[in-house]
Amino acid sequence: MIERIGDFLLHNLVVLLAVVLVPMKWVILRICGDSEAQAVALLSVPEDLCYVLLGLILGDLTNSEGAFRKYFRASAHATMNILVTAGINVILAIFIHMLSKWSADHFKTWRAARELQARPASETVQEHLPLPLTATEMSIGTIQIRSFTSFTLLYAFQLVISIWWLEWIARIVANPTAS
Amino acid sequence: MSTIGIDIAVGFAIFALGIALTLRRFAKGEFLVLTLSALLTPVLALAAVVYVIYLIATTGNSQIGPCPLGFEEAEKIVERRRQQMFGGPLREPSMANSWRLAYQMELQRETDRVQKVARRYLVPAA
Repeated sequence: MIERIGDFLLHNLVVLLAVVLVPMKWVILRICGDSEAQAVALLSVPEDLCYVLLGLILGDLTNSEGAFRKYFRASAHATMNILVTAGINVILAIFIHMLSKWSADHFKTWRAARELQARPASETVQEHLPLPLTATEMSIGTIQIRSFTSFTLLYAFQLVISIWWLEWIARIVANPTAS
Repeated sequence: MSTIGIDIAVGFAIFALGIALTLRRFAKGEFLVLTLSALLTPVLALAAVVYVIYLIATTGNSQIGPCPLGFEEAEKIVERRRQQMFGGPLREPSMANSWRLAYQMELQRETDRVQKVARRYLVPAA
């Protein structure tokens, strides 16, 4: 049983490290007490994963016994192959960064719309008798839903891309001789 | 467990953790509803895309409704608030305009279809 668990962890080490990244980042920022940074940091997890993977790939350039060298050993241009892989990683990181910026814009718009909709107590006659909604207020609600959905979708899309890349890199790191 | 299963589980775990921890901080009071909505959004988005494709294939249009009254004004108010809260330049909101244009195009297509039918069956032959 212990051997099976050990084998499982070894073969999925890179992927499992990615899961640890989210709570670790949150805990560290929580200790620092920076609430605005918490949101930004959590939303940039897919981008961070790309940088972690880029580090793994570039680390192999100087290591003659590295996983990527073993993986590309059949090729006469192993170094070039590693550099191309690193290049693809850089392009992915740029793409995910752009998506992340777009996602953060929607997140900010959602927060602004949410703040506008949350009326202060002074604006209501009684708590159970809210003021009637005007057309503009209802539109703010539509903007809130639209921004929240866009933010969620973009975040999910970034994760799909980064996990797909992570899976490929993890497979090489776990089993470099499978080329 | 297969590699694909682990990937999906890891992706979903990061998505759920990231969304839940963010909403825990910024959506007090509606945390549970919003987190559940967020987790369902990718599935609902896929379903929406399939539904729109089905509508276009069967009826020829995507049934875009008219832009609600006061939407442009609401966009400007939200944008001003966003700038007050987070700084940065004041951007010109474009969603109301895009919505209106998409609706006009939809109406135009519908009008073209009606005119085509009218020319074929209603206009008497000379």
